[in-house]
This record gives sequence, C-alpha cells and structure tokens, in this order.
Amino acid sequence: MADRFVLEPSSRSSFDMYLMLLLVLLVGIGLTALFSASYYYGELNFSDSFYFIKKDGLYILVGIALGLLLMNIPLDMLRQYIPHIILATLVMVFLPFVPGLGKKILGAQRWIIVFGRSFQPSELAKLSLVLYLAHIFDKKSDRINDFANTIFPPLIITGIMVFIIYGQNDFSTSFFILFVAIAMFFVAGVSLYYFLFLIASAVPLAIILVFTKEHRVERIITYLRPEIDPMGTGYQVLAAKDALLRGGFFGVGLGQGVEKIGGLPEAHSDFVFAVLAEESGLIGVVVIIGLFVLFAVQGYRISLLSGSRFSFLLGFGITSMIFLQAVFNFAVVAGLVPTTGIPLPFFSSGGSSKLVSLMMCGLLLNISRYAERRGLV
Amino acid sequence: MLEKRYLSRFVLFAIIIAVLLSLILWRYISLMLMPGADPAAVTARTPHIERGPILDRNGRILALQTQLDTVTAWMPNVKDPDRTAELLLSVLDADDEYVRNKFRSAKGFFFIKHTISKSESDAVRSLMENGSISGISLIPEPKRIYPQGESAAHLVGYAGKDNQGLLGIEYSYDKVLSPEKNEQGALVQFGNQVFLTIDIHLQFLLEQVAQTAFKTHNPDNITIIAADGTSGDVLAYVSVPGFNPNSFNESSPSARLNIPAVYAYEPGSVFKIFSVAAFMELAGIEPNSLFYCNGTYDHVDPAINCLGVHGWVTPADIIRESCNAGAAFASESIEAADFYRFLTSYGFGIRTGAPVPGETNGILNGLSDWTERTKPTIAFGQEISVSALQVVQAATVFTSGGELLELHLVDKIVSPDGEVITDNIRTPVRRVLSSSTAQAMLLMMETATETGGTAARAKIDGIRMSAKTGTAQVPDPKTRGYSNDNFVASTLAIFPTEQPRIILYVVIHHPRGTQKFGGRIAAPLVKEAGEEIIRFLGIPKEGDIILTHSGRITLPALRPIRVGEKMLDLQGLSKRQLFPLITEERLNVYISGTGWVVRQTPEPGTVLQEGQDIHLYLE
Repeated sequence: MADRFVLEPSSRSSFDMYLMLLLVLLVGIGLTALFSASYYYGELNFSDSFYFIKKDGLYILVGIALGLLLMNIPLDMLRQYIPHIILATLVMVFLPFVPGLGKKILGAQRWIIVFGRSFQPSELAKLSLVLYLAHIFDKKSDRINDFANTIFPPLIITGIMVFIIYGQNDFSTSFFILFVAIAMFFVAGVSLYYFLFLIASAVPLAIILVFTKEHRVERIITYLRPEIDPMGTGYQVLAAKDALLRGGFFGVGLGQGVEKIGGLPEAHSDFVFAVLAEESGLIGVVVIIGLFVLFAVQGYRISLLSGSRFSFLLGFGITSMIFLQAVFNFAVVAGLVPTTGIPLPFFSSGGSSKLVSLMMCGLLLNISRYAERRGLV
Repeated sequence: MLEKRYLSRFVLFAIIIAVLLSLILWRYISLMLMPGADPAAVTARTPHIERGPILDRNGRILALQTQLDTVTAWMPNVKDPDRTAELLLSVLDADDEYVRNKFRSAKGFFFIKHTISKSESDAVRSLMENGSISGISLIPEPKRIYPQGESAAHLVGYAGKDNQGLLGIEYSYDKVLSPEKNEQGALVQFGNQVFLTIDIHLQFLLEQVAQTAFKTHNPDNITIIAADGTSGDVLAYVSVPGFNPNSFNESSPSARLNIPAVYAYEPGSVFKIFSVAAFMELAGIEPNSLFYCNGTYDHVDPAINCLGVHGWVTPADIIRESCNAGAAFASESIEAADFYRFLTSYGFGIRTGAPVPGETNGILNGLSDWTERTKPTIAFGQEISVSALQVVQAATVFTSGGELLELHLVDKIVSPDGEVITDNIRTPVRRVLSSSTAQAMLLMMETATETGGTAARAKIDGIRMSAKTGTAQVPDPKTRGYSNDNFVASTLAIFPTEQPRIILYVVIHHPRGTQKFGGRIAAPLVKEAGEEIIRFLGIPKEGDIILTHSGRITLPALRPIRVGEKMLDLQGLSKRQLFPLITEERLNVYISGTGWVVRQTPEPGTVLQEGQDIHLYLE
C-alpha cells in the first residue's frame, strides 16, 4: 500500500559519478604522463614542449563535447540510426582507398582530414562496430545460434571492417577490433561450437600469414629474443625493458626519466607507459593498471545492471574496447606481445583515439543512468 | 533483468581476462624488481656511457665523443609510407632501395640511417616540423669524432658504430675510456680521459716530412718515431700512408696497419750500435781495438761479404763506415749465449708492451736454433727481426746512461673529475750498459755524422748528433733468399750528443726511387725531422745568439693593419700572432707557407690602399 507513494525509478536518473571520477583521473593523469613523455621530443622536433599536449587537447575538447551529447541522447533514438552509422563508417574506413581521393587529397592511407585535422576512421570503426553488434545480438537474441540469420551478417560486417583496416597497413588495430568483436560474439551467447571452429581454422591461417612474409618472421624472432638484434628491431623492446628496470619500485621521479630522451623512440606514442613506469616505478604501474581495472569493473557493472540486453552488450563492448586495449598495451610494453601500434587509451598521443574513447565513455555514462540503483556503490 | 546465459558467459570472459592481467602484472613486478630475471634487458643495449676523450700531452683533443642524430621510424604513426620514404631520401644520403623496402615491409620500429650529418639533421627536422613525415624520430646516438683527421690515426685508432674501440688506443684502452656501466639508473656515466705522450703539433710537422718523402720514394711505408730519451715518452708516432679514422671504413686494411708496432723487419746496420755496444760491455773491446776487414768475413761458410775493403778498423770505424766484416769479427769476442742474453736485455724478441693491439715480438731465434752464421750476422742487423718500437726503446740505453727505459705512449689517465688515476713517469727497466759504454757509443755514432761518415746527410748544423744508418735486405719469399730490390732504409739519430735527449728513428720500407740506401734517403729525413724537433722544442744550437736580459721587456701592442695607415713590419711573427692583425676586410691578405713571416709585400711603412694585396711568406 505504501507502493502508491513510491515514485517509479526514473529512466532519467543521474549518471554514474564513480565512473565520471575515474574518467577525469584517467584523462588528467594521461595528459600529464603524455607531457612528461613528449616534452623532449616536442621541443627537439617542433620547438614546442607542449606540442603534443596542445595537439591532443583540441581532440579532448571535441571528445568531451561529443561525449556529453552521446551521454544525453536517448539510446532508443540512437538505435534507429545504427544502420546509417555502420554504413557511414564503412564508407569512411574505405575513403583512404578511393583513387584520387585517398593519397593526393586526403594525403594519408589510414588518416583522413576533417576540418584541417587528421582523423583515423579505424578508431571510429571501434564504436560503430560495438553499436552494431550490440544492436544485432539484442534484436536476434531469441535465435542466437541461427547461423544464416544471426551469426553470418555480423560476421560479414566485422570481416569487411577488419579487412579494410588491415588493408591500411594497420594490422594491430584490425586484429584488436576482431578480438573485441569475438568477445562480443562470445558474451552474446553464440554456441561454443563456433568458437572451436574459429580456433581450428584461425591457427593454420595465422601460421600461413606469418610465414609468408619475411618481416613477420623477423618480428616474431625479435619478440622472442630481442637481444639478438639490439640495434635493430629489438631496440625498442629493450629500451622499454630498460625503462622498466630503471624505474624499480619507486621510480626515478616524475619528469626525471631518461629513456624518453633518445633511448626510447616515439615514447609519447605506444610506449608512454614505459616512461610512466620508469618515472613512477612499480607503484605508478600498479596505480594505473588499478585505475583501468576499476574502470573495467565499473563499466561492466553498469552494463550488467543496466537492465536491457542492448545496453548490456553495448556497455560490455565499449568497456572492452577501452580496457582490453589498455591490457594489450601493458602487454606490449612488458614485451609479452610483439610491438604493435596499439596506443594506451587516454595516455598515448593520438587525437582520434582520445576523441573516440571519450565518445564511447559518453555512451557508457548514458547507459549508467538506466542502471538499477541496487547493488551500485 | 539479464538472462542467466549472459552472466555465465561474462563470468567466463572476466576470469580469462583476470588471469591474463595477473600474468602481465607479474611480468611488470619481475621486470622492475628483479633485474636478474632478464639479463638481456640490462646488457644488450648501448649503455648511456659518455666515452672519454683521447688527448695529446698538452690536452689537445685527438678523439671526442659527440652525439649525432639517427633517423628512426615507428610505422604505426607513419601516415604515408611511400611518400615518407621519398621525402626522406630527398634529404638523406642513404641506400634508396633499402629505405623504400623497409617502408613497404616494416610494421613496427626500425632504423633508417645511423648518425647522420648536421645538415641532414636540419633537413629532416624541418620536414618533421611542417608535419610531412609523421612517425619519424631523430634519436641522438654517440659518434666518435677525430678532429685531427689522419694525424696520429694509427696510434689513436678508432671506435666503431657501437662505440667500441677497434684499433689503437681506442681499442687497448676501451675499458678505461668507456667503463662498464656499474651504477643503475645513472643518467650518464663518463669515461676516463687518456692523455698520450705525443705532441700533436710536432706529430703534424713530422707527418709532413714523411708525406713529402713518400712522394719521392714511393715506398710501402715511412715510419718516423721521435721519443724523449730521458723519459721514454714517444713524442711523435708517424706512419705513412695513413687513414682517416672519421671514415675508417673507406680506407684499405693495409693503410690501417700500425706498421711501427706490428711489423717485424730486419733492421740492418742500425743494429750495429746495439751489437758493438754489447761487445764493448761484455768483452771489454776498447774504442781503439782493431779488426781487419779484407772485404769478407771468412770464418763461416758461406763467407759474409762486406760492402768494401775497410782494412784495419776500430769499433768507431765499424760504426762510422758501417763495416759488416768488422762487426762480424768483433762478434767473435763474446759467446753466442752471452750475446743472446744481451739482446734480450735490450728488449729484442719481446714486446715493448706498447698499448696498441697486435704488437709483434719481433723474431729472435732461440739459442738452439742459432747456426755458426747467426752471431756474426746479427752483429750487423740481419737474421733478427725487430719492430720500430723495439729499436726506439732499446736506444734509450744510450740516452739514459745505460739503463733501458720503458717506452710510453700514454702519459696519464685522468678521471672525469680530473683526478689523475695513472701517471706514467720515467720507468727504468734494467741496466743494460755501463754509462761509459753508452757514452762511448754516442761518440762513435757522432763520427758517422761527420763529413764522409755514412750518416753525414743527417747532420744538422750547429748541433752535435749521433746517428747510424742502415740498409737492410728483405727476404724474398719466392727465392727464399734476400730480395735484390726490396730494402729497408733507416737511420737512427740521438741528439744532442753531449746531453742526449731525442731519439729519432726513420724507417723507409721498400723504397722504389733511384736511391735506396739508408744513408742516402733516410738520413736526410732525420735532418728534416730533426730540424723541426729542434725548432719545436727549442733545443739550443751552436751559434744561437743567447742574450742576457734583465727580464723586463715592454712590447708595443701591435694594432691591426688598416686601410689608410702604414704597413707594419710583420716579419718574425707566427701565423697565430698574425691573425688578430689582419682583420681588415678591405685588404686582400695572402699567406703562404707555415712557420714565421720571413718576407712581406708591401714593405713596412707603405700606406695601404683599399683592395690592396698583401703577401706574407712564412717559413
């Protein structure tokens, strides 16, 4: 009888403050770490120690604006546009290949120029694909193992995207997107039988891919034994290890690292975490990995409690895109995975990645407002 | 509420990721806290060690560490590989095919070109600044530079791309110049400074002498070693042809051979000073003992021929006229075993220990291998092989009153903080001769430089000089005898005789000019080189005007010459003194020669016009 006076839980309840706080921390620490890792390089090559901060700062501002927009847009409305979004994304990732447009006008193979700024469509592909897969697996959740209707179409869309991005000489991003897509197939409940089939066919294919190109074999060897070629391909891996070793438990002090001054090329890019490890030691490493883990816990929690299949799958995909990318980057810096072009979200320089990450987080915060209150901190 | 199947799949996924993440975290813990776990991480990379410089005895730089840029690429950030490759190739002097292929095939990090020049750096940097080659980085890499170029290159040596000494002092003192990294996390660790005993200016002067002679005689090699016989310090270490250590890989391996240390040859008659001194010391042969030379030494079979019939000769005559038969007869005064022992006490057959790689022992056969001809033959410098360094070291017995001195090429080693770690001071090894024998030999050698002596061409006016020439035959591997046209022409000089200080040794290997005798071609080089040394070190000559003076002098400050003013008398000024005086841009100053101004046009007092030519002749 008291129920009469209890308000229906509003679908427009407030977003998750905890996640918001984590994001502010990650973006803030990320920019600081990027500054430390890039000021020398920026000063040396562009006579501006703030070069990378300024460059990425703009993308962050745009990313926040778009993130806020996505945070407030009704999810149901967004869903109606998913076919358009996926089509637009396919066109965009394909743009660099259009003869005449690709290199000469857009000047890049995997970048395009938007308002005078370069943008990597493959970053946007991450968001679009997650949206699409969440949509399709929700829509067809009742016949999830119907190969022709449920599995085949998203497989094709995923395959096309991965293939185009791979064609842009971006093996790492394409591989990573494929990895997250497979995770979504898995969580969506696709029969394990398909995954066994996937593994059975992927392993020989990978072996063929690796051994048909000499440089791939070379990189695997360097990965296994970087000291064989310390002044060649193994150089960067060893430089990163050196940075870690020098960092020790407490680190050499913020801003005091030396690897970025010459030892570790492109430290501001995919190896920014090595610089952070050198400067803040194992403590910093644990803190940053911890922040990403908290982000993941919170992201997955929001998704699980969001109440609908679509928002669960979307939240899961978004959280995985950011969190797993960080995990990949940690593994690369520690020399566990061959050097790839996988940036650390919010840390590595690169505007497109930051922009899209913030957009994805906007969506995640959007989902958080649908989350059931119970069980949340 | 979500269906249960989603939750169970998610839990499985989460467990997999958690396991992977724990593995990664463990990897960080082991890498960061347990360096021993991965030895490759600590040792395989070029450590941040600033290799110490090599300097001459006065601290002039012979080898110096600098940083040059190395171009690297990180493919994930390269936007347009083909265009980037072309842009880089337009400014880099690199292997085009290699760079293009790398850009096509590489995925991660790679080196494009190591240690590029300053102008290349600037060009690459400007490409980076306008954003046309993203993904390209310049990283500083150590590069050894040798500001003196070819000068003393064999002694200084060179270090390779990975900063490792490969020749000369760079090689032997590698660990001193570039000590093992022992401090974890140190920003930069500096290596020690190595000071050599040579004076690079004197070195340069003697190199010029050798190079001029090289053109005349077209030999395999000309070696000139000048040493301070009172300390054992080598002052100049010349070996021509040479090479430029800045671009050592463009030189031929034979040009890089450090002939004075690594090459053993039969010294010829120069050796008589050592053998005759040995006979005097051991057998009490007096300067006036007599031996009869009838043109052959026939106590062995086959007999040893002398170059002339010298008749009755004293030890002094043997030295002055270089009588082989006389030396052979004199060798009969001692036992082979004693002679052998004496030769080793001179240091023959043993390395001098000079800090250069590949030094030869020379060849001094063991006593059991001596034939009846060996002793008389060694007496005039065949059947024994020596290095130029051994000869110079052995000659210190004459300059230090009979004691053999250690030969030094390194003067001192100084830590990065300026603390002297090693200081090589005069080190007597052993007494070889009595001081009276040493003195007597110098006087006998002096007779060789007098008119009619074999070393007369070495004589420098106004200074007493002791010298001995040699023309050695070189074994011909084809005939297994001695070659008819391959000789080693050499002269060893010690001066001033009355107070011996400088040992100067000139060796010409395989001269191909019309003249091949040591007294003909090596002795004049001793004179030329000796004159440079005397002038450079300020050794007083007879006839030098010595003024006594209160010690107070006032010099009118010279003002730079200017248009509209009177021409100054610049005679007697050195080039260094000249430069501050010829700053006027409206005059054309021509300087020819080196040394000091001996002539000038216009004459002093001439009023200078704009655009006027001024010629200064230096000698």
